[in-house]
Amino acid sequence: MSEATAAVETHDDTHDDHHPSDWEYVKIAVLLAAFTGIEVATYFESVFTIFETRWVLLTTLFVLMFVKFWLVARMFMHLKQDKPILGWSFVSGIALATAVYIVALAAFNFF
Amino acid sequence: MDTATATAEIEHGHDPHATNTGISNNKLAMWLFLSTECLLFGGLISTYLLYKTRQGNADVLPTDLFDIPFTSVSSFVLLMSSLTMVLALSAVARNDMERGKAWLVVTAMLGAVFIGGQVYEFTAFVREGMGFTSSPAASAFFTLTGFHGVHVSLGLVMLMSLWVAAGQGKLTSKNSETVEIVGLYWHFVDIVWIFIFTVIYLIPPA
Repeated sequence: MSEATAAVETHDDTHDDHHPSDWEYVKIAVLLAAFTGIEVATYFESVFTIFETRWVLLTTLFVLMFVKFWLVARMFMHLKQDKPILGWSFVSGIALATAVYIVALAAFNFF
Repeated sequence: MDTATATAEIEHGHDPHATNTGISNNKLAMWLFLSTECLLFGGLISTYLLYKTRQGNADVLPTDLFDIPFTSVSSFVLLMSSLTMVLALSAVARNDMERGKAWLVVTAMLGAVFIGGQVYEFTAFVREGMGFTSSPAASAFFTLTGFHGVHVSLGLVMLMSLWVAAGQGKLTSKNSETVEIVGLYWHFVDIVWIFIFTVIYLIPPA
């Protein structure tokens, strides 16, 4: 093995060490599935009567949505391990889209 | 550049393939592309929110026809495809190509099930009298979910291309970043559906 190859492989090994194990990915997926189950439960208001109150329903759904979003982006898309610039570029796009469309929706009296 | 020069450059911190950011250009480009996709889907979601009660001359609105238990299952399937995608990347990075190819196929199959569910849903809506041009609400709904379906379908093409490349021996742990980049796209499509499922399907009209 040449020194150049060794140097590159050492770098790759270091990079891989930062990624979660397969078992950790499975645990995250179980969490995501559980959160989805709670989301779907909100649809059955007659069974889970707490969700008949609109602010409880909306708070639950939005919190679960953001937690699921955060878990997928951070763990499955490796934002936790990757360089912060990638996260910032993604967050910038989301922030820009959110700002633009909140203004657009407000202009059309959506709120 | 010969090996000796490359070695010398790496030893002095000048990897000939390195970029200023330390991130490959392909990966950075994918992240920037996904960032712009937020604007595309943001526009489509906002349009649906504005039009969701505009019935026009149609008898029904999309919200009248939603089959939440059915959509919940297809949402779950897409969510689990993110797990199989990341397991495929993990296997390819370990150079376990057989397992990597298997997870890629499973991911593609889960994506295909999701698309099948969407086709079934669209067909059921049309049978109930809600076509693409029935009302502003219907047009906005079909455009939003249809665009998402097109994204999933493109992801399926990418996944099968990776599977073919792996079968031909062109995909190894040395270029596992290709799988990672396709994985980023796939996870993004999943993230967008997480948003659509909550905002469009689960939040009932006030």
